[in-house]
Amino acid sequence: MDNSYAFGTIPIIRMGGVLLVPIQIPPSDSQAKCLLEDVLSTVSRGGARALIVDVSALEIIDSYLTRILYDLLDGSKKLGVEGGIVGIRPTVAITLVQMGLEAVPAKTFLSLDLALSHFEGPR
Amino acid sequence: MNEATIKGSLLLSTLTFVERSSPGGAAARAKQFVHDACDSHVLLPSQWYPRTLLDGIVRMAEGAVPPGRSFSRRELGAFWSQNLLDGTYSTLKKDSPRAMVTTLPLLYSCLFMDLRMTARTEGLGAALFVLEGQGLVSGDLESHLGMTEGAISTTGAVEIQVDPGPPPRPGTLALRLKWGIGEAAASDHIPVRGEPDIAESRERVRRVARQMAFGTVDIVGLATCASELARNIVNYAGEGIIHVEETSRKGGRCIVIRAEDGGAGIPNLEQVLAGGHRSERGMGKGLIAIKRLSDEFDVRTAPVGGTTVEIIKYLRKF
Repeated sequence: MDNSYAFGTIPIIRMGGVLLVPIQIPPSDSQAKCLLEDVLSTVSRGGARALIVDVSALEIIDSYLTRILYDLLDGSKKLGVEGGIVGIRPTVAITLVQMGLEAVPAKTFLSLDLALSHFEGPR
Repeated sequence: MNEATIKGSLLLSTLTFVERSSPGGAAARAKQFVHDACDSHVLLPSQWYPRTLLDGIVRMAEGAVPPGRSFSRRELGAFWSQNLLDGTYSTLKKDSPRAMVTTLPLLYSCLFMDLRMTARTEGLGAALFVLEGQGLVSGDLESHLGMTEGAISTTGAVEIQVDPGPPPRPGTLALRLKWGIGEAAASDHIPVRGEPDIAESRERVRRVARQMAFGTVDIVGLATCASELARNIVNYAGEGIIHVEETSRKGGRCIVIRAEDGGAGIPNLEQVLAGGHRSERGMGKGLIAIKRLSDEFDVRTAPVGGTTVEIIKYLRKF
């Protein structure tokens, strides 16, 4: 594990060549803006094979949060770094399906292990 | 405690007296009493006389049995599987596989899951009949009930009555505990003035939904609607209020969530709902999501009067 650091309240953790962003509580508008800027600026600095967003702590994902996830992962994709989402709870998954929102452009994984091994690459 | 709110009844009987009664008489009367008084019943052993009591209960359930006969685990298992609701039985089997004997607290906790489910299928209200030959279980029961979350509330509603009519056996006290499930209809009113109120709305709607015994998925769906509604108020109107109410509408028992604001209204409402309009902050998607998560959905909006969004979700029977 390399160094980890935090901008504001949502940490961006460098972990074995990927960036891990655990979202523990739904961010406010301003936090979300900061998060997006910070993540994309970190991504753009290079050295990360993938961006993994961990939402396992979230019991509710509404359209606003979906938008944040979309922005993070779409932005990252545009910078050439693939993304993944880890830890969508079953009840949340059902609700997201029911809501009929657009899919976020990222693979989803049941666990961090699976996500990390998916993004494993030459070191 | 309103009789009208009692729609179903469950019997928890700790039939200690059965163990000591002569075969036939008291047991048959007790059985009849149970049969007459309740829509459905569940038999529990007393924590104080596990083994012999079970013998007595089995005797009562299967008819006269020679004294001194002991019961195999399989027979006890069969008895329990007939007399307990499925959920209670499988939990019992899991937790007390050896003797099929357990303590009252454990059975109460299994039972409360069933009670909650039964409350949902039978509607509001339940009456507990406890037949207890020795001492009072009411104290225990109350404290167990008090610990139960969700649909079952004992606040101010536990009433202990001695049943009219002859008790099943002289010297036996039949206690009838009544309480209402959800007798005080849940409601809440959440002022929404800023971002922190969005999380607050989620939590308070969740609380009402849980009290009404909605399933987990529905609770998440309703809390998500609350989040969407509150966020729309914050983003577009600045200020508003969300009313949550447990009530009955044409489809039955339901939760009604109504978000009101005095904002500038939603222009192009038709377009927004049809998915054609994309506002900068995605309000359209939020409204459509809300509509899809609810059973009934209504929006009234006007540039002067502000916007009212009302959604209804019905409590489904199994």
